[in-house]
Amino acid sequence: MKDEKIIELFFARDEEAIKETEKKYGALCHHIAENFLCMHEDREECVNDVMLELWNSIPPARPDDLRSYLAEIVRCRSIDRTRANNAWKRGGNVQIVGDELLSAIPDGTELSESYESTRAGAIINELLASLGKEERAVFVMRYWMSESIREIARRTGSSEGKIKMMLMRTRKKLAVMLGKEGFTL
Amino acid sequence: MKKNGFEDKRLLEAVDHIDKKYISEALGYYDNIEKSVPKRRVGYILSLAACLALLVAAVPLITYLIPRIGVIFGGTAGAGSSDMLSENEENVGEITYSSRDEDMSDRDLIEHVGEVPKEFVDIINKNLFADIQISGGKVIKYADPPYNIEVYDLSGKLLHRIDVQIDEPEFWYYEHKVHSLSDGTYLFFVPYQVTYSSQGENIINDRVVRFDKNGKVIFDIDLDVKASGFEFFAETDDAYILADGSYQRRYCHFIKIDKSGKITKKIEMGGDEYDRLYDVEYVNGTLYALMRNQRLTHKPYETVTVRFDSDLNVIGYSDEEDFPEIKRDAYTFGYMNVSEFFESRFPDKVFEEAEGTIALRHLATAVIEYDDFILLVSEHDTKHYYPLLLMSTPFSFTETVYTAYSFDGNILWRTAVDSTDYEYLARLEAEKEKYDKFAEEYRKKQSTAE
Repeated sequence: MKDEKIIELFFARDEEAIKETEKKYGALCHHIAENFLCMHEDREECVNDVMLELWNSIPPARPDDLRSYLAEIVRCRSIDRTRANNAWKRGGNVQIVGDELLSAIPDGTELSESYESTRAGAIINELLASLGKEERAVFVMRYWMSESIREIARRTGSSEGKIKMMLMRTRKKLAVMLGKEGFTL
Repeated sequence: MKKNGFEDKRLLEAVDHIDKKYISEALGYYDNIEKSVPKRRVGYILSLAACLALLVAAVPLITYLIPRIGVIFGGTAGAGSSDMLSENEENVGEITYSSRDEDMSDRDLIEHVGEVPKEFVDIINKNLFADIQISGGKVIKYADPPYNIEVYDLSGKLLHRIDVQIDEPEFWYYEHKVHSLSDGTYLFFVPYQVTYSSQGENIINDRVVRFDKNGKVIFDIDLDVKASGFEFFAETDDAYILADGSYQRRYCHFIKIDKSGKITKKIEMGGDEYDRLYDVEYVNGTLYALMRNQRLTHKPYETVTVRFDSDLNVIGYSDEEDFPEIKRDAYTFGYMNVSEFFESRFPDKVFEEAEGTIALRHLATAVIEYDDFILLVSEHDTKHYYPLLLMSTPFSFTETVYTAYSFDGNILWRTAVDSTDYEYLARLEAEKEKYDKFAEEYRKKQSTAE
């Protein structure tokens, strides 16, 4: 079923909307949740919560892109749940990905109190705009979805080595851009 | 702080700002992911729809009647419902209005309870008043820039149409708010915005503009804070108290300005958790602020009612003696991580049921002091249930309880309304007149019965 039709079902308060959303995007939701949450039960509950939230938010919301809208909610709720459980696991995927991204910051840099996440976000978007489609997608998959290298390689049809190299180059570009902006994290 | 890994949540927040078009592009690589779903998961997923069906069936558009006093409260279960929530069947025109909440749930919330003529009900039913605000007994509707604000009375009569002439940013994160003041002027709240250019970052703080019914600006001040538009507002004899603390914001802000627009006091409360302000009330010289944290656990949200004097000095909490950590935390850094949600101001007495069976746990939402008693609005879980066997998250049936206490903590009377939408009731604007009416009608009933 097309997204537009699913959204119409939500507006009609027809529970088929949830069925169709699950049918079309349930696996994606679970996959994203899996990237952040270790426990199977947490993932199940998170996706359940997300579907309820979707039901409550549409209408009045009418997302242009249902898949992105849903993915953002899943990611957000997964992170919230992780925070709530104090579950930034040492060595876990989220931390590995985070540490990797932080490596774009020059050594010795101090994290200042005046850090503005929105400002850093704008620089990241500027970086993404300058990249090719595949590089951009790889960056988003890795750092926004917290995806594993193996899975990114599988999805893009590339080797793991190529993905690692691509990410390293992108991080270097990010480091240069941050430096030019005089950005102190 | 040295970089310390992804535990620093601020970096995670930076990634949050990745443009949606890039996310959509990346998600294109997941088009065939459906095939990898284990069958067992599909079972879980499909059952959620049944769960929602049960939930929605259990919570339709509801009208709640408190039989003993004839006051009606209402709420909707879903989003996007009509602006008119409920109507007193015995007295056409006793209606409640709603406006949408700006949080993720976008649920309708009660904003006002009042009597209006049938004609206005019809106007609302035609959905001419989407996104309205009710303030100071007026219905306010505003459009996007250039801000043609229309003000109606409760009979639907257009009082003013005002074009507010202010400089306005192109983009903002939160909704604007308009509050009607007792002298017939208005306060218009403009939430903060951030823009970027080659020259760097440009932050425009939250602002508040006071204007008269002709649109003439009386003052336009920078609040020197990045908040979310100051949804909550109270007016004292000589000042305005602005309060803010929306969904997924860490701090609640309280600002007092005098009527000429001078900021006389500014405080913030909040901490490591996301804290949310649910309502403020100014009654008899005391400002009550209802706050809840937003931890996504399976426990009930933790709630506290903070009391301020008219100069925004904290003078008390819901039950500071029994839960001293509230006082300590809130006084020092406003850390609202209360370990237990409080039961009442008088926990030793008030929640012993009259029948004397068991002590019930209530979640207090509003405390209003009268000359002869204290009225407390609270929630009471009546039953937990699991909609489906495969779901591990319990849902609750609840009732909203209105209880009057003497000043020494004894129950004078109590009435309850079965309610699964306690949160909406929690957001009732606690205008003193409404509670006065509530209390007065009860007194009359009692007098007649005697």
